[in-house]
Amino acid sequence: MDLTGSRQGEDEDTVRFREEEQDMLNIIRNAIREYVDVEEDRITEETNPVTDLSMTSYDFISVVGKLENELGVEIPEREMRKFETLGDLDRYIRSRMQP
Amino acid sequence: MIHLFCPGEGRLKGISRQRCAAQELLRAALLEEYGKRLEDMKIVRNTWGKPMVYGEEAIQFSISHGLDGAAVSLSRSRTGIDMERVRPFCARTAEKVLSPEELHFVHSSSQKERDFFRLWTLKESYVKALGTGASYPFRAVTFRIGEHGTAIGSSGPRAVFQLHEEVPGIIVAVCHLRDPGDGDSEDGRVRRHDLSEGSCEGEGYGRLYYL
Repeated sequence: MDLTGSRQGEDEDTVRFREEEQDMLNIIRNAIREYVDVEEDRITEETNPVTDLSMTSYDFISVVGKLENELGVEIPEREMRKFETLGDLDRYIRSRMQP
Repeated sequence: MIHLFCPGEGRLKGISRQRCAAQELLRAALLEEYGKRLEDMKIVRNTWGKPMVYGEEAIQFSISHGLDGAAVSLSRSRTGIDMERVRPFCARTAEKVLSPEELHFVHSSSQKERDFFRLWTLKESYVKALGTGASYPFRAVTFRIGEHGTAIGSSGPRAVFQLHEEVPGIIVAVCHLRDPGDGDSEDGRVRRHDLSEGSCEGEGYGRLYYL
């Protein structure tokens, strides 16, 4: 399945949004794979890093710290604890990066 | 009592093995301390995901697991447990979760990594004992670690903490929350278990997988 190309009926904004979504998920994937030995396709938007990837809560908060450094965003510790899935983290980061 | 299963550094690879080890440890702990079988109990989760025994308020437990092993705290009061291996830590994370006093303590320590993870596990054990998820900011509580490894928390319900470092390189912190009238029943004993590594391979382990 082509996840980045345009689909019939989609406007440019929708395509761009979907591409940004995939880019961010890839950045998150790479950060996580520095902490846990896991196949790339097991890291999806629905993944819970603690229960699905056996990361400790410290591992996850460290991943978030790494993403903060790389992307120049600030994610308060209190917000981190609300993320249940990587999709939640992805959406939060992208919402903070919007101009 | 604290129950530990530490088969060796990095030996519990994969979430399935970790959950199985935690489940087997809880099973052994319940049988040993209460004479109860895990199979006869209904494990439920509260609104924030903390597992508990349905209809048995006098049996409180908390579980932690990772690559190096599993830990269970079993208690008559609300409890939380966390286990971590001492390793290099992220400075940015430390600034995010430690109070200014704790940051100073870690920065001036000759065992920075050990002291960071002592504080981290204490905080995590407190969050798990409270069982209310995101409602507690880590930096809001300052822990001071005494000469004998005891820790004193401030604010909130009366909390009693223990730090255990019997396994080299591994730190385990436990929190017990006491309501008025509760006695000081926790004896702080640690029981090491030697679970058979093959004991989780069979059928029927899906029911408690959310541990």
